[in-house]
Amino acid sequence: MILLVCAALATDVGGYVRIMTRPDMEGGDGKLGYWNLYGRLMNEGPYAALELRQGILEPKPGSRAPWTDIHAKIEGGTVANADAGNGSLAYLRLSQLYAQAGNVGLSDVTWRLGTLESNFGDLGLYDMKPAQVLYDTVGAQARYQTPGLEFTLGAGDAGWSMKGAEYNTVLTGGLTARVSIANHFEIGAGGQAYVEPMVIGNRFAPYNTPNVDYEDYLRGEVVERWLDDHPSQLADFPNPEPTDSQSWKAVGYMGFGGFGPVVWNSLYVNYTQLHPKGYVTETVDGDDIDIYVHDLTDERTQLLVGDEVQLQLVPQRWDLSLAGLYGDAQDGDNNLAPTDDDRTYMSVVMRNQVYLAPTLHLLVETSLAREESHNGNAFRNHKDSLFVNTEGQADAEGFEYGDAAERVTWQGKGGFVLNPLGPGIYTRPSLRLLYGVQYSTQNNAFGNSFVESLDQYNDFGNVERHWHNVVALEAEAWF
Amino acid sequence: MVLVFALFACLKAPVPVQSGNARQLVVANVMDSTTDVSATGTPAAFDVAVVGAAGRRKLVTLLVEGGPAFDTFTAVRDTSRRITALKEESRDTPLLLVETAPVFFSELNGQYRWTVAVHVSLVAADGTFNEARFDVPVFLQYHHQREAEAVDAASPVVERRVGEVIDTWLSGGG
Repeated sequence: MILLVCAALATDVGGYVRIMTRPDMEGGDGKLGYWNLYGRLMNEGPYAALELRQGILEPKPGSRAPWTDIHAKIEGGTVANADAGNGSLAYLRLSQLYAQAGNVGLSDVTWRLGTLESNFGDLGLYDMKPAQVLYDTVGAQARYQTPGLEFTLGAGDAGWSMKGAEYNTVLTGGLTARVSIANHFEIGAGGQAYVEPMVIGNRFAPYNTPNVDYEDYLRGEVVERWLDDHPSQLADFPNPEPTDSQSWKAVGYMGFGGFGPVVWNSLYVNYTQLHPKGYVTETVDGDDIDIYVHDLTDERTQLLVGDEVQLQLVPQRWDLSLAGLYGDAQDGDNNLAPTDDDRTYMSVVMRNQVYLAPTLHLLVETSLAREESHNGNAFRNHKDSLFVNTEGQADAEGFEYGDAAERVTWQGKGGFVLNPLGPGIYTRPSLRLLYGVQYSTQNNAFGNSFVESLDQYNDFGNVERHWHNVVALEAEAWF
Repeated sequence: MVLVFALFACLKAPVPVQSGNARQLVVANVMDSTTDVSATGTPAAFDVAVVGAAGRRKLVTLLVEGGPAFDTFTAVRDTSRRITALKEESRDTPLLLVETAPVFFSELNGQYRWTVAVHVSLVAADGTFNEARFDVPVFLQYHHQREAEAVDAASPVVERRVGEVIDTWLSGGG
């Protein structure tokens, strides 16, 4: 048996794929709505992930001998003939690469070096991980795990993930702890903190341009307004002042189940102080001037609460999954413009799966969502809404967009699922034939190529459409 | 398209090779943990799947869930020595030993992927030996689902492969 495990696991490849065709006769790009808030089903595009596990020293049954392996994961959201990316490798990335070792120095501890991650699970109906830390970090991590307790501690650098080509070191550390009781109850908590230190002379380090008015920043007119007060003195535009940046997140989790019809209920919460931004560039008379905006972007917070319960109402006949999501984003610096950093959103999603036969299922899902902008209009409700913004009136200087601060969306989806491996809402592979319908208060509330400017409006016109219908043929599998 | 889906769902599985006369088969299922040093029995649903594969071939199964031979499995990891220990109890009755070893792979796009290494050994009364070695990737939805659930989730594939081993044995005149 030991030899069997060694031979079997020397190289192991796993992965995940989903591909679909959703011809859209109403001008959309094949997705029923804008995003996962309405449930992931029919609101996501194709995706492929391939993960390689190369065993170097395999774990031996009956032994606490050291083991080690290497993981590499490539993934991306494009497949040939299925989306705009057409399967281009440019849209795929090596998202994870790490080495692990166990039973080295400490029993029940797994050491990990490379890309890190620790999370408390997935909101399946939304395809979200609300309680996740260290995903943006490359560094070292230790996980102590026993049947009742899991404790993870990691630290490293998140600079490349957060700032990309404008890299500056962002030191970060995070931890999670989870306690499990008799496979019926779990509770966990964790957090992550980031520190981007002051580095004088590094133009990608945190700086702050003094005395910048937030409205001028939004309009991209900081330099222009300064020149109004200081004509012909561009060379004297204030230099940025070095500072440092901090941010953090806290996550929590509670799970219970395994009794009555409740398979499992997962409740996640996440509160994040977002990291301050770097700089924006304004061009005046051919000169590029960088405006450093630390102090204008350091009061952004996000609260996210999500819950999903999976119920087995009639065993082997009818399963139901019910989920809810609430998000609240606040930007203490911004009281002027509607943005994704200043809004509230909430939704509920319910999926029924009825097993007509072990491999043939009927799927019925519905969702209701409400999104509200904190700073005025953010949605166009009518075909001629691109003429209006502030308080529903045309205002060339206005920050608002469209004629409504609220968007309400309902979706209904249903169809047949072929599951070769039998019943289960999350059993895969699945071959699905689905019809989806959406009603939104917003006009044409789906990815589309309709008019976005007055010039285009004059050429093509627009249509009033609040209902959206899509037929989908999909395949999804883990392997 | 709906009709095609319905047609696929209603396809009947072929009737397996069946034993010509009622005969017994001793069955032992083992789960070798890679996170601790234990070797234990497999989950009930897994046992049902393996026994079911034999039952559909008109074999009368005797499931070994304990006893002196089974109790040595934590210390004895070698398949041939396990078979020898079981044969001392089962004597001339054909023996089916299914050994499983679940290993955690990673969390993969929202599900916990495990790889269950499986070794199926069938020893006939005359000493004829048939075996199959294979891996079954399984996906568990929740963190608290561990080794036992992984082995449980591998049941449909193991059931099919055990059936193939039995078919090979029966086709050879077993």
